[in-house]
Amino acid sequence: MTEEELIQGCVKKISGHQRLLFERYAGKMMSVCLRYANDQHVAQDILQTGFIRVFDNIHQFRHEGSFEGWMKRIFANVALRHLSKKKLDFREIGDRQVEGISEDPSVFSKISEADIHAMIRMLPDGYRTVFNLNIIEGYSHDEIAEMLKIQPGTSRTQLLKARKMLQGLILKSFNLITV
Amino acid sequence: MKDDLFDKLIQQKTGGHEAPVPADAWTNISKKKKKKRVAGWWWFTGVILLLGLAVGGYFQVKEKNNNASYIAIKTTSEGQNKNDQKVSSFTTTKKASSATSTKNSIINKQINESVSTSSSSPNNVSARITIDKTDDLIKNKKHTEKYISQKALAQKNEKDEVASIRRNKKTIAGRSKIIITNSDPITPEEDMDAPENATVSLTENHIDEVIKAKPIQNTETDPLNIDSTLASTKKIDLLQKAPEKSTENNTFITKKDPPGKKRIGLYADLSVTPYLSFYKNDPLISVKRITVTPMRKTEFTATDIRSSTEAAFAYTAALRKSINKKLAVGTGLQYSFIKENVLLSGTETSTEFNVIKRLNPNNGNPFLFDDTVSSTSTGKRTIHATNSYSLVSIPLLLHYELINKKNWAFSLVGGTYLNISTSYDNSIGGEFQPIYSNGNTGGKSENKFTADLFAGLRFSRRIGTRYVAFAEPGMRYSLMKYDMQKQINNKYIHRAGISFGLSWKLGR
Repeated sequence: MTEEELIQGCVKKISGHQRLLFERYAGKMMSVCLRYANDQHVAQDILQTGFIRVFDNIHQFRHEGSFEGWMKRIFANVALRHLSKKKLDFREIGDRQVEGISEDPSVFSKISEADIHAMIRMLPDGYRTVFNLNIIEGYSHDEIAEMLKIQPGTSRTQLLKARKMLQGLILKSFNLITV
Repeated sequence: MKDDLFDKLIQQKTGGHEAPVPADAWTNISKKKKKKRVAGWWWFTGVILLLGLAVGGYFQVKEKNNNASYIAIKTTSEGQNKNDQKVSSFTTTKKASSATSTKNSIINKQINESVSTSSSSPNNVSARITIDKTDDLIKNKKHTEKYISQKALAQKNEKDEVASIRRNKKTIAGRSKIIITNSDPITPEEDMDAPENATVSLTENHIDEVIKAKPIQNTETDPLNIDSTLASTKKIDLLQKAPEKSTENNTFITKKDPPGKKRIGLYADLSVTPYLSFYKNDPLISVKRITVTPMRKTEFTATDIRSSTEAAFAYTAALRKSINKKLAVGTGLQYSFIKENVLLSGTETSTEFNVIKRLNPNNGNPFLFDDTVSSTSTGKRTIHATNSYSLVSIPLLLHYELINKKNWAFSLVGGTYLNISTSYDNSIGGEFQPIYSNGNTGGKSENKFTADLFAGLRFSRRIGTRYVAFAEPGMRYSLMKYDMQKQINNKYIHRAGISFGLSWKLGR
């Protein structure tokens, strides 16, 4: 069944289509949830709420971008709402000087997707949220500032710190040395 | 490594990542969806009820405010009437009329006898006007003027206000309200001809119609002592018919009610509803039926599936309570069924198992042993069946009365039917597995909660003091799909029909 047929079925609230949609995207969306939530149970809650919201609002999908991207945005919003219940800490954590990892992108091929995910999840909540929103979802700092009710400058700082910390984690995990 | 490159590599690595999904995730989502649906329905029902109560409350408060401006004149009891007969309330003579001001006049056309307009009915007019039969009166034949003292009226009013408050509490449907306000004069004709619900006017009453005369009962009444005579009057109960014209001071008016009697109170409704069903099926790919007996297994796959519903009946017992003159709420219980004719055409594969005796030829001593053989046959088959849906429903309805005439009324009816039990009886045996084009494989519940929206019009006609017959054409729109076990095809079933019934007023 094509994605378009699937979407049309879900617009008509056909349970079979909704289930197929869930089966097709649940893994990817769970990955998104875990990137934000850092806790299996919370991630599962976000996943369920996210899919219900997708089913409720699927008629609003205008086919202007990818459906997967649209879904990811919904899940990111649901995740942020969940996270807003527990106050996010945007304090800066002491810098650790990171030497920088290899310029050679092929080095990255040694690192699996799951490893990267595991390391993103090791970031503190504030760093991780900004990193997810900016680097992976593509929101600007102004948008992030509005979403998280922080200053755009805070968002930039958090991203810098997050990036450095992540690079440090990768270095540490895989002993990648700057060339 | 530059940040941009790092970011891109991270994006690439995270873009296609999939995490393991908990096994019960879909089950939880399905449950949440259902809960949400049911919760939605409770909200809907609650909102309908609250709306009804709010509107009802508003009208009730409005009505009370209107009532506050009414001052009813108390109905005279029989005993009081008897007393009144002894002391004729407003007895006057020609002398009296000539002695008083000439604001109120009576043109006496039958002059042989004295005049009395008192009513024998306890609920009727008790303002008595007795006109003495005198020669002067006979001669004049023109105007007998009559003055009713304001003092007497004031005293009467005080008593009657108290009485009216008591009586208002016991107001019976259909009774009129009596108000004090300004009005035009009332004539004896109006007085006598008017119905129970009427208007009283005590100043400048020009009574110039035929008045029946009676012998004077109290001829020794001091004609000049009208005020005291009037003051001794116990009651002015009710003068009839309101000339609703001008507004002069010190005038009583009893305002007549609209012609229709108020159908307020608690009613029990019994009705039968013949109706037609309209449905919308889910698109089916096939329906598989499997029957298994010890020696036979049959698998029938229908690819041509047709169904139609028959006209059917619903039986309702309900209670309806008026919350004001216009609005009523009703609830009760309804049983209904929908017959469905089903035609399934397809291929049936039947496998029969038989036990046969075989001879074992291998050994030197041949013997017979049991062996099971199967024979499979395939062919076309068509199944006709009449299945049925049975529904037990709770109606939650609002009635809004648009027109209320003396003997008939017309109302709008709307609300919801909560089908607390919807079951399906499939007369075709076996296990059913419908396969829908969307991949679904039929419902699992035997009794399903469903709900319908209802809108109708009710024409009711009074056929006695306590009974009202009604006819109610209406439409039920199913908001929830009927998807149950053994069902051939999931569907929405909408219904249109006309209820015929009888309302019985409970209590007085």
